[in-house]
Amino acid sequence: MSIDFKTSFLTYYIRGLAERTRAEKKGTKFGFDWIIYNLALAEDLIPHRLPFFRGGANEISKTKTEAEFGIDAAFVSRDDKVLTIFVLKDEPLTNSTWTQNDFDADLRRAAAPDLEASGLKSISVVRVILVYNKDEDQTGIELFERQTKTLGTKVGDNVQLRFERWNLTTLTEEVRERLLTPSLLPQRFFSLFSYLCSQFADFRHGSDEWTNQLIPNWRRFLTDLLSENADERAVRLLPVALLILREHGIENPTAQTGWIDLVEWAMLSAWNVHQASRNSGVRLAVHQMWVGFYLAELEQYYDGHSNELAARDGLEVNHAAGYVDTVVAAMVAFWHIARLGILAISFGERLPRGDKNEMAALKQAMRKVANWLTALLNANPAALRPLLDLHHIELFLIWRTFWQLGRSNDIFAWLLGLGNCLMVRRAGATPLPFLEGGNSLTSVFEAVATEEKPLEFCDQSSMLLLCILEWCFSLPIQERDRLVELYYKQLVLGRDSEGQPLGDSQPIDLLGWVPPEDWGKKILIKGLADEGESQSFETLGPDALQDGSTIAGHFEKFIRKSRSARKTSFPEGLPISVVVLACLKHRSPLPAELWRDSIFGPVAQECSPSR
Amino acid sequence: MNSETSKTFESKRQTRAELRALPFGEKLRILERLREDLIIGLADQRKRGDEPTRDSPSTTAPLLLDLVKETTEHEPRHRAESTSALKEEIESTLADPKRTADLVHALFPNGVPLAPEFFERVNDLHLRLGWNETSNRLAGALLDNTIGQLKAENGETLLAALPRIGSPGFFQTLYYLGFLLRERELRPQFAADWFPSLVKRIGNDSASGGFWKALEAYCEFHPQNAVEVLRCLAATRDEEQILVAACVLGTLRSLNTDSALQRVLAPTELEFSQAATPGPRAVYSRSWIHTAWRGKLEKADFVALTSRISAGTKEERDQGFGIICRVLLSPVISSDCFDIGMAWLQANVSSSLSPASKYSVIEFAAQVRPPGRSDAAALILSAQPVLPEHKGIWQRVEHFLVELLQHDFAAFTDFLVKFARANAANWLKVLKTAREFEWLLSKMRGRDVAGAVGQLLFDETAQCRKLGLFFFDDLDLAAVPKEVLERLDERRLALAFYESQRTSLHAAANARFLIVLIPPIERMNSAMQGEFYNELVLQLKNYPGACREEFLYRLREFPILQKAIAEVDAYFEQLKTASESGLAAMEVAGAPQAAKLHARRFSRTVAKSAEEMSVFIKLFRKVRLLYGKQWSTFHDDSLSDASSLQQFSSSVEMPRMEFIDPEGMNLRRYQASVRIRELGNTTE
Repeated sequence: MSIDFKTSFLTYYIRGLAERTRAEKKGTKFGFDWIIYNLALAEDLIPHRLPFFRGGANEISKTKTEAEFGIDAAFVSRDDKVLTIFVLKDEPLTNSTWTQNDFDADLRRAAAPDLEASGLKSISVVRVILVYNKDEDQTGIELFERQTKTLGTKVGDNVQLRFERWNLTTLTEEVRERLLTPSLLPQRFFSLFSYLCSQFADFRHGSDEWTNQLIPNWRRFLTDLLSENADERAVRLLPVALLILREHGIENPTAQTGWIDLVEWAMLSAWNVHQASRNSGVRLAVHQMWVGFYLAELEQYYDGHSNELAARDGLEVNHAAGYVDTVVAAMVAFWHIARLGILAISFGERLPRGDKNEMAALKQAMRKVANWLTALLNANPAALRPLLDLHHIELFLIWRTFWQLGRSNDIFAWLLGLGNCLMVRRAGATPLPFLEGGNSLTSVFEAVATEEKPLEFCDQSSMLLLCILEWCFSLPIQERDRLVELYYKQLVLGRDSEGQPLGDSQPIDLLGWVPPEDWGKKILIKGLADEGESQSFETLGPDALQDGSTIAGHFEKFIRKSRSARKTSFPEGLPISVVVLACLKHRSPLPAELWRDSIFGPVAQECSPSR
Repeated sequence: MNSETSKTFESKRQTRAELRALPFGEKLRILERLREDLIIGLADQRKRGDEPTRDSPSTTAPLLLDLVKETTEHEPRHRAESTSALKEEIESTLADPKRTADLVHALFPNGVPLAPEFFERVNDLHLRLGWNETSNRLAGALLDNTIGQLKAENGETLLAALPRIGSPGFFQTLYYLGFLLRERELRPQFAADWFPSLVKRIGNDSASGGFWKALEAYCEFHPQNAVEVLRCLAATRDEEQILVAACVLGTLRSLNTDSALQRVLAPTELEFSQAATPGPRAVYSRSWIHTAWRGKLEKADFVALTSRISAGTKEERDQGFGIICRVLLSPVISSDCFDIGMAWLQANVSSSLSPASKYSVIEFAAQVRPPGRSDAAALILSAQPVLPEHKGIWQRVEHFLVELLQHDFAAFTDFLVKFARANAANWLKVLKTAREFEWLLSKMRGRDVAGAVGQLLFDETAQCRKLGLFFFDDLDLAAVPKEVLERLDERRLALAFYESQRTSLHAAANARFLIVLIPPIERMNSAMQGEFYNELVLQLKNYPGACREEFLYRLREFPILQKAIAEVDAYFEQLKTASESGLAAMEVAGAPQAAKLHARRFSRTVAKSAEEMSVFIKLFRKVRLLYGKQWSTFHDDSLSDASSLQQFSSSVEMPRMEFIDPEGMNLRRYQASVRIRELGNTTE
């Protein structure tokens, strides 16, 4: 992530903070007094006066109600010579706020500290720093300059007096330089977040520890942070937390992808807040984080790795574990496919309607990502190896990436290659099992490691194959029919190119899935695999198997009936890319309407596939 | 009748009734006790009466009696000392039946058990005496003497116990059985049952020579009795009875005795020859084997026999091959007869023979010596295909091939190619089975078989090509004669190339085969050259160790190898960069456990294969050591010296592309098959 990105999200966060942290009815209001306190500690200063009573690890520090006399916080250097006084303001420095918000008065008071107080007798320099987490105007600056000149350069006879002014930019810079640590977060998150940081530093992305310890902890943190009534500050805190985490993963070789994983969980939580909130600030913050933080990070990551993505067998895994490695390579490849796909379709859905330049730039970006994806597919055999039925999500993303650019040839070539690879597995020609309908990777691993499919392994039913058959309708009729015939006769029915049964294989039952009506509310929180309705497509009889066109006709009827019987509506304000990400993270099947709407048009029109 | 008498009478009647009700075995035991009381009592009386006039056995045969004592007291066996003195004692004992009887008594002081224990004890003494003709004769004499002492029915009971002896004691007994059968006639009906029971007990064991010699001796020494035995077997059906009857008939037929025997034998022989049932007819046919082996087969008889077999039922024809082959293997057969038999086989051997007939034919062919070897080779080829499960036949084929390789190399290479073309698929399956054909392969290594293998590599049929690739790989060949390569047309070359694509070879062999193809491929069209180059690259990626090593070795000869290596080096360089980028560094939950499972299964498979492949592991019991760095064994009352544990390891390069792109590699094999089919190989 570039410094610019980092700075901008830190700026968003710091700018949204109050002067002081305090618990309110609506929830905790985070203040930047805590940041100042931690910056001072980072500079090895000793607290002399704090605006709060420090609490325990999981407590919020309690704000002092005493008169502050302009001094929000004061610190003494280790040699007792320098007294640093902070005057905090969560207001912009302008002509109107100068007196109205006590900039003037507080600076005067801060410039006249009582140096006779205990512990200050050796002080030779007094630094008064005005810190405000907003911007300023020229008048405000002039007022400050004039005032500091008036206040002179000495306290009493011998003590030097100096003034400094930290605006939002300076404060952000200070934080970026010195405080990307858990201390930057409000105190009540310190303990859990510190633990998360150490886990992020130690655990490899995707490992058992990652999955079973770090991710649950991270999700707990997100729940704590974005509980009901979460305000903009809380949302703005998320990128900051992620930036801090990232700093801790420098030594972890899997930190880059692992960090993206954490960002995705954070994004789902943020989108959940977005969907529940009417606050425009909150909604804007989520949008900014989605586009400027997550998608930008993805783009930057793949920009930096596009050569490796295109390297032949670049996603190869070699742990000398035979076909276990083959399975791992497929999982890695599908992980990248998913991210590239989300990136690609997010560009697609951001296409503006009017601005030609922006539209051209977005189209260019879509093409760039589609090319990355093509390179990955061409270079890595693992990318044509879906193992679980839920891998239809990644396959959908590939389809959608090409479809939104009208790249039918790429779709055809990809589906043909995928069909051939699946056919090898369907025929049992390799120790790799066919698609696991129960979506249990453990079962796949067991089948590969022991060369014996466990009892619970399910390869009799498939939604993935039905999805592919439906995507074929986005192609010109000739290609559609060829693929439909290949997929249905060979993969679904389990016959070879000459129509002979492949060993003792039985036809696979095709299953469609319609989500529950309230799926839009739930999908950001949990998987919906156990909800909604499965629609079984009965195996076609010999009369229906004449050619691809006849078979396609049956599927078209099924799709029409399915759509008119169970309508799927999409949640308002939630981008499709977020829906797909949610399905991916929560291991939930995709609603078929995601592609049916694109291929066949809106339900009411009952039209033929739009090509 | 007074009361005492009637009491006695009643008591006896009751006793008789109780005895009648007893099981047969119990009755025998009671009878045995009575006999022992009687015989031992009489012997004691004799001993007492003889004592003043006769040498005590302990003074006349001290060594022998010591050994008998050791036997009865079950002392550990040790080598007999003073062999010549012992032999002398045995000879003098054999010369005096009385001393033999004394020896029997000393060996069985409590009486002779009518059970396998008798033979076990005689065998024990036999072993203590040392394994030689003299000791065989003494053991036989002890058996004969014992039978002589027993009542006839007890003698038969004792002999009937013989098949119940465990191995190897049973086979040991067969060695001295001849002594008994030469000396003593048996009741024909008993012999007709007993001999087959011994054959049944022998089963498939090849250590049956002692028995058949003994049976022949019986026929020679008691021909009239043997004819009676044969008559008892006239209605024979069982295989064992057929074998015994055939031996008896064949032996009797060959005896140059008076016409009295021939008069008795002729009608019996006719009866067997013309019997309505197959059993006796089989006896007649098989009897000629024994006649032939005794050098008494006449040309006319053999012609008649072959005609009889040709005209017989299918089953008889099947058996006929075995009979003819056994006859031809007789070392004393006349050349006329051999020619007749060989001609018959050449006319009748075909692929449709039963496995048993094929076995007979190939076993015979494997034993034929020059100048008949080429005929024998033709017989083997005519009998193809032989299925992989008929391992016995394959062993005979291997035997033949090794003989040929050692004595006529040109004929061997010629036969190798012909045999491969006759039965390549099945041969390949057998060759790929653990420990099969190791002998032949070891003999082929280091011999110039490249020409023959080359012919197979570029053969028209897929199975021959696969077989050629197997030999190329297993024999570590590196070249094919220039003349083979020069006369190749594009189609044959392409067929071999695609065959190698769909065949699993070891890394180095794969590389060497591709190098062999370079010169002829350079004559081919550019498309084929492109495919070939891609294959070089693929195999370099597949086997970056051994394949690269082979290519580097021949780099100067073939610039195309340089180009391929450069391309693959760039590939690995990119791969390294990709690997360092962390793109694939993430882990997948559950993978470490699966890797452990995989490793466990892999090591189990390796251990199992090692056991199957290793002769030594099969010979010794496996002990899993739990502690320590050295081991020793307690065996036969002694503890061996401690040995250090040795570590053995071997490694094999796995084809990495099979794991990176299993689907692609399968599709590549499929494409190769399609290309082979397109090239018009009708044998697919």
